Amino acid sequence: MTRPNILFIHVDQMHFQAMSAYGNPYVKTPAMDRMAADGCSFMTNYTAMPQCCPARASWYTGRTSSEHGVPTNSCPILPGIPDLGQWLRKHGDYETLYAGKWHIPGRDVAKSFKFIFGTGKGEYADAGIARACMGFLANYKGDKPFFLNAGFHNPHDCCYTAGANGGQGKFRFARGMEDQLPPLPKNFRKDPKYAGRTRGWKELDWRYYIYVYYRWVEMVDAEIGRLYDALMSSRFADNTVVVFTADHGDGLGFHGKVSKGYMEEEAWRVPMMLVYPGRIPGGRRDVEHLTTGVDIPATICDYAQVPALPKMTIGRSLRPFAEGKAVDGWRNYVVGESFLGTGQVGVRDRQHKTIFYCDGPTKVFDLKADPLEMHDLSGTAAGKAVMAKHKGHLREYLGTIELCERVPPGKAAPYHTYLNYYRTVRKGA
Amino acid sequence: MERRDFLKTTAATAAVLAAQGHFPLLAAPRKKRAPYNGPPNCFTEPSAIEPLTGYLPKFAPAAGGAMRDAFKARYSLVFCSGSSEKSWNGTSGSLDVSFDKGRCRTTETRNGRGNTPGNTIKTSLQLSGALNTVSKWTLESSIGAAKDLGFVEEGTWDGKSMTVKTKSWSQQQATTHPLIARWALLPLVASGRLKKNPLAFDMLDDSTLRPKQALRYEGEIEVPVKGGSVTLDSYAQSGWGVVPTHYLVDSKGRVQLITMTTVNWVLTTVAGRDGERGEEDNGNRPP
Repeated sequence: MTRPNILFIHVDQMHFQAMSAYGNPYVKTPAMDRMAADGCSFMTNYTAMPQCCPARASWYTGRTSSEHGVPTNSCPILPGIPDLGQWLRKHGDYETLYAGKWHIPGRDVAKSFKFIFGTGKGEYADAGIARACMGFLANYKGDKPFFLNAGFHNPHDCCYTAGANGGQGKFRFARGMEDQLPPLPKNFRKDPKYAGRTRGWKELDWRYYIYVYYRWVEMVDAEIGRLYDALMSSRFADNTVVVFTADHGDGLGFHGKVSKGYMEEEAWRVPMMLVYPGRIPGGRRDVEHLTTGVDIPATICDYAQVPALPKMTIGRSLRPFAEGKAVDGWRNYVVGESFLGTGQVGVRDRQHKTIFYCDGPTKVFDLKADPLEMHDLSGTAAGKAVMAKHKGHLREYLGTIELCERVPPGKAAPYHTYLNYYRTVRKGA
Repeated sequence: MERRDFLKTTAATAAVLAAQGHFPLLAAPRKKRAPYNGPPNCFTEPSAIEPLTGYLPKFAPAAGGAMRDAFKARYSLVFCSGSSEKSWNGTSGSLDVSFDKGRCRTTETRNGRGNTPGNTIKTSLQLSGALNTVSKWTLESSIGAAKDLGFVEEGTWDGKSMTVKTKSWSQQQATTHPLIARWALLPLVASGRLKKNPLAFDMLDDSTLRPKQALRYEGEIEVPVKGGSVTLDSYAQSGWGVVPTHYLVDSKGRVQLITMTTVNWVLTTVAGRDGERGEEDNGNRPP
């Protein structure tokens, strides 16, 4: 049986609702909308860890962020763990290619893929990333199937907004366009103690941030559209699986936050789509199954007809759901971790989410009744019951994964907090 | 020395050192820029130049001919990777653009990471009408010298839709406004014609369609540059898939600065129809 080509498109820091296909009236994403119409969207999909390096290391190794040695940005991945590039070359004889953002410390992308183009920032590089991939599609005449990776940067440019710190900068542009600025999210609550870059922002600044963030989403959507349309009108269209996702979300004003690294929906939950013309029915929206970033490499290995990556403790292939087939015994909860700051672990089932802070309080939300996570139930009897159930899930999770106990350089204090917390949970406390 | 005197002396010494910035652990807090509360377009109108505030002290506006009809210009790509009191800038690419008799040619290069090859895009556009709408174009993309990563596109616009074709694919998209290529905006803003009439258009950015754009005049601003300041006309663009973009034009009709957010362009040389040539290197080119 012929192995399909695989195009893995990923974007950086995309809020799970920043897509017009999902009903957002403040952004227009025709390319992502086309992919959603052509394939299957996983609507309750979560990143393994809502920060760039750990999430990406999970995509490419199939291991969770507490397994692969990259608990936060800048920590080098454990040596010897195979990545998808090496794995598909070895077991599927794939031509593996990479353009764009890699951001897995300690692993040279050029040793696992043919690195065709890449540099920093979305406005600067995303068009070139699309063109490099399009150039490959225009010229490829090889016999091998290809595994082409397009690592787009945007909307991550929101981290470099000029004027956000030193002055109003382009934010002052908002004064002339109030009528075009999106409103603040309903759960916007500014933390008066917050000392980060949004300190001092006024309502107009927040709304301008959201406005420009959506423009970056549209900008990367334009490049995705160029690449996707090039693929779909090429000779590879019928035999290429397209995987689309984001490494993490962005606060986008929800809960009065920007950026990532925490377990509220805006940072933890990310879009995920699979397209495979003729195999995956178009327009599917899977709202039943809880999925996570480590399912992506499992899915890619499944479609590539190669063995699963070694020691994939959590990840499972999403192919059956995408193709409308039933699966017995799918997980009933998903766990995500953030090793930033004081650290937190999110446990989500179909209705509730608990956020365990390693050195602090716990929050519980009913996501069906309160999707914006505005009412913490941890002080209620119902909330305490959820918390106990989720603590059991976390214990089961910790009993499943192979926890990396190597302390990342320069991060001893926070990492010990996690290790100690995990040990405590494992012991049943 | 009494303990009280010791503490007093030590504290006073530390305060002096900190104020001078010589004592990092006790350094005086960095001076925060006061919030901008002034009227629009006062000195250093921030929304136009904020992504370049770290670069402007070494920027000398390019001399040379106007950019109204026939001209050749070179820009340096100045990226912005954030800001504290000033933007953090560096150079990492270039743009050559020429206009003559309804034809626009561009060569844009964006450097790759480290020693990896960059992306070069050459376009040739056939323009028509008072708005320089594009009727036909070719785009050639190359990644370094790699023959297996380049491609050539040919595009057309019939007033209602644009079509892009290569040997491998074909794409068609509907348009609702005049289709104007990004760099074909330069002579429009340089001419001053848009001061009274804001422009509504669809933009061709390389071969990517960015529909529903608006470009309007925002007034004069005074921009601090190397050795003084210069007064420039500011035009602001907003629309689908673009961050607010400013085109800053001098009184001779030269678009000196174009600012977005992380990508910005500064004029390094220009030669216009009148034969007036810019300096070959005015100090703005990357080393």
